[in-house]
Amino acid sequence: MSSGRTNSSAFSSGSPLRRLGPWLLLGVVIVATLSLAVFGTRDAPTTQDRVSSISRTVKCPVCSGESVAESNAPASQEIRRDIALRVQEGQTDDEIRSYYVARYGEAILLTPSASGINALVWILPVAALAVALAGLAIVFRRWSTEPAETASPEDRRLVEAALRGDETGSSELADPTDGHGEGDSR
Amino acid sequence: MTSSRETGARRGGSNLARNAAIVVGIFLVGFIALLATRGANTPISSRIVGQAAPNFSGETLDGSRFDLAMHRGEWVIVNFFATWCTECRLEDPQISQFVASHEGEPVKVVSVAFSDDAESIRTYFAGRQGASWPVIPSDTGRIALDYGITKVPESYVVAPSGLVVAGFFGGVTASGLDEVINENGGMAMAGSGS
Repeated sequence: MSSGRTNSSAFSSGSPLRRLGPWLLLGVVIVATLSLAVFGTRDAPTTQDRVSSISRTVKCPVCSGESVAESNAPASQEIRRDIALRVQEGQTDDEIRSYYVARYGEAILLTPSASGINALVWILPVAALAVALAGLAIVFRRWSTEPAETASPEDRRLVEAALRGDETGSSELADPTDGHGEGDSR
Repeated sequence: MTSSRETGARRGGSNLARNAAIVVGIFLVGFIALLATRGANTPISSRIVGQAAPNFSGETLDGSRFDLAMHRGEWVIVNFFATWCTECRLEDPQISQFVASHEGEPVKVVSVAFSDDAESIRTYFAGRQGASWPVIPSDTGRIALDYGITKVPESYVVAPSGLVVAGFFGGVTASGLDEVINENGGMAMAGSGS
């Protein structure tokens, strides 16, 4: 009897393993899926892949909200050609973007950099999500620990009145097994 | 007593939820404001004015070589143009006039082709009895991008010290170029950078 209790204690309804198990499993599945998506069977990017990828992040200097990859403006064509040359020369993506930022300013990038004030574009959504999740976790925890129903002042008065009646002996007739207090009158 | 504690706990929970919602709301409003003010439609222009002029060299129409570094100590007007650009054709007489008025002075003009082919440029200048200043017809884009060109015509005034002191976003005029040179010390500055 006692050994059965010992074996089942790890998985008893109140055990941390039982409570956290599904969440741990969910976490493992999410991490595994994301890892596969990011580091999975993706081939190394070709030169053309890199040129296209960088071109999509550089804004056409004379267009409205268009990347140099999409634009056929002369400046965009020159920048695309220049990006291809720089990729062939072995420059990194960041080096190539930095070159354009030095010439045209930060506004030349469609994807904001992760430094200075622009870093907020990346930080704010993550911070908002973290605060929202923390808030939800705390609220749910409080809700789960609160009793589903609480006695109202009226309930308490009734109980006190019943107890007083018990002291005066009026409950002598009451059947102790009668949960409804109806006694022999039933 | 217990009841008030429970009510307080419940109220505390709802307060917390409300505060969390406010904080998240502030984050989101800030995020939207940041995106809205990033200025995706802000005109982009060169940042080269005030910086050292990027050096360049290239073969000119007459087969000689122009090297900007060899002209340190002189005023140099670096002009970007294309034969398909109407405004560039319109500024040509102004450049000719400027070059003629500064003959024998430490002032040079060099034109660099932008997004154009050498043959069109040769044909264009052949029809105008050539250019009286050096023209580099076969830039691969590097020189123009080094100067942060967005569209032609664009011109930059390089002081004798090697610093870019002004930019013209559009066609230049002879008087406009003279004005910039005079505002920045004029011919007295020539020779100071060598």
